Amino acid sequence: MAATPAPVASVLDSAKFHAGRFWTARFSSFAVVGLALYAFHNFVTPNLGIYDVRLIVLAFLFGTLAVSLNLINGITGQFSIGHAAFYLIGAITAGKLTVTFYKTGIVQMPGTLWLLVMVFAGAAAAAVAGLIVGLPSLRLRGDYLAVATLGFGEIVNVIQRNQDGGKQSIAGLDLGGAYGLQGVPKLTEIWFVLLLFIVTVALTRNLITCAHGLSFLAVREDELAADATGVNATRTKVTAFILGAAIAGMAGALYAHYNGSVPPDDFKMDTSFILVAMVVIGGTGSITGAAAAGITLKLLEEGLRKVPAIPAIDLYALILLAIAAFAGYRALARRRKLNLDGKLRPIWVTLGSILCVFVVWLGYKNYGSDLSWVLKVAAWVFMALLLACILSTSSRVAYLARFGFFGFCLALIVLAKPLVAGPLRGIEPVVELVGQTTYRAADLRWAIFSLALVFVMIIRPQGVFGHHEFSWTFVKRFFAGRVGEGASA
Amino acid sequence: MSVLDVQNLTIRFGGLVAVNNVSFQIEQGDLFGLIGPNGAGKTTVFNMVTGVYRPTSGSVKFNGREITGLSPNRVAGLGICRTFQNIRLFSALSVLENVVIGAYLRHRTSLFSALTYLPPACKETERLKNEAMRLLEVMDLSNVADARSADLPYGKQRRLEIARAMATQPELLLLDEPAAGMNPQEKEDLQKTVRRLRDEFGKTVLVIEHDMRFVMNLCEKIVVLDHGEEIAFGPPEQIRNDPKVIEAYLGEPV
Repeated sequence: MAATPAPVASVLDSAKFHAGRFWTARFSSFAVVGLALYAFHNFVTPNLGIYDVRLIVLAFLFGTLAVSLNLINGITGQFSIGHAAFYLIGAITAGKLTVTFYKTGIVQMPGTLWLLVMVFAGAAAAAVAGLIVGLPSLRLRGDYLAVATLGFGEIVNVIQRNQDGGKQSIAGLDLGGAYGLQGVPKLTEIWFVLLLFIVTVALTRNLITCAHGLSFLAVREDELAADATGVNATRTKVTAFILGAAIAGMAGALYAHYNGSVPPDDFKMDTSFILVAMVVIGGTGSITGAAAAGITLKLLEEGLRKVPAIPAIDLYALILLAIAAFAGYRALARRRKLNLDGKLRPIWVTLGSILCVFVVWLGYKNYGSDLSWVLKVAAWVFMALLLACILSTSSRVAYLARFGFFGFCLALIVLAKPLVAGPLRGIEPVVELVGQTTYRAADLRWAIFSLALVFVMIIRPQGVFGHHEFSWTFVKRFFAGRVGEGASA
Repeated sequence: MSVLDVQNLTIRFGGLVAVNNVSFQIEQGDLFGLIGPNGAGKTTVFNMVTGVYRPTSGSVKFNGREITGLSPNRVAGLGICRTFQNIRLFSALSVLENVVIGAYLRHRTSLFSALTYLPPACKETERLKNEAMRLLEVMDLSNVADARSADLPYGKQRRLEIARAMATQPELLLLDEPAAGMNPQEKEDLQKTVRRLRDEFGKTVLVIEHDMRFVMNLCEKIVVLDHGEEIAFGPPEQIRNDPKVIEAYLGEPV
């Protein structure tokens, strides 16, 4: 007799409906969000530097975009890799309308109100585009749909690139051509972006806690079975496209009014791919996963600009040492001489604990040498929370041992670097080949970024969150290494 | 008026005539069997009735209403629901969620109220969940309601498919090889369950099955297909002794 399978966390709301409790919760959450945004706007925003603002705006815009793409890719299972097109359509529609009507004074109204109107205009334009892309999805599946959406993304981008008001432009519409639409008034405040992010997460979360959302998941799981069970698969897919596109359009409208221009380079294929990477890494179908991955990856992408320049030879020495360390680890592991649980464990645990504190300190010190105190404090609190998380889970001992061992290896690699780099400098052909080349962080940024992505995918192919949503039990199980996609895993 | 009236149903895939001129009528409350050797076209008939394939010619009427060529979800909405030969559950979802999706066919709330999570959507989700839970009890699956459906043992997955189809509250239930891969005990339980669906819930049932003992014990009327042609029709005793059927399929009397 097989054991009873372990339960999975249901997305459906488990609470019984109770009017009083429902409305209390609803209004108190409104109040909390409102108060938080008000406080942020009045106390935090004035203290932010220009770079901080850019980081926050981009991070949360991409968080929003990732969640909206997740609605199409992760929840409904329609593999779309042209999401930047919806973002662009929202941005260009809103930007053009503002330049034409608001800036010239044809329409007079307060900036914030106008921006709100523009957000909905961007959403409407992108939703129409979503409908246009959604329709072929009725016939196309999997890879074929991916190619179609890819094509759509490029078409939209190329059209904008060539709309410079010249003779070749469609209807002589001037969208700024390759330079992009310029001179959009900067109306976007940070709290607008934060609000959009919160609303997006809330809407998608609402959707899948209702029976409604299950029909989207059903289409992802098995389209034919969903159809035979009475779910209108066609309508569900098109709805997903329209919703996802509309949210991306809103993000686009905010971006246009934040950036002041809409350059087509910001909406190229790589933007679409980054978004797909965010969804996949966060865990397809996990809203919190996509949101977290969106914010983190965007911050990582920007933050890597701060990596110091490194001489080529030093880098090669590091790589050689890393390979040697890895080979040594494999050899030791094979001969069972590597014993993280044995007598050495206390040493590793101590090392690991020290390293944990060190990492937090390092993060606090280095994260944003020229960031404002707001971001520094936020980053520090975040890392302190992370440490608290690690220390409060039951498997901390095993984890700290591993962490300590890993840190020891890392320290070994860094400390031994001069010993290898010195002789390398003595080898004539190598010096001739590499010379005094120094890698600047800006050059290596994408390489490191891509390596990080590859690493995450190798370690957790199902994405960091898998199909799960964030919860504290999830954190515990994650650190205990017991998060499978099913009970049998 | 018959519940399901299939007239001269024919489908060609290129040069292959998969089903040729098949006609049968299912009356209210029938336990109807559709049998035949492998490749006889049984599942193809199912696919045409449920709208997955559009027949080349012929017609399917449900309660006197023409349903030929309707999309599967429309057919399901009218009251015909099916299970699949190769189990097609929503495998990453829980058992309960699978059944809720079946019940979702009767949802009333709009997408807007789901997105904003207004009370109607809330209450409806609760109602559908309760309905689903009751069905799981009928199908004896309530103790695994929260398990991931792919983690269930095979027999329970089959039962879950039936539960999901039942959740759409169909008038006519199509079961495609429901007993495949089950052990004798499970088959017996399944037989009781299917009878119960008819006797207690008033469903009409059309079953495709390979297991002769299962079909002969369960069904009251049987149609036999061979190479896409209908070769016999009648009650089990008659089918058992039909020389054509014996020749095509059984080989010797059961």
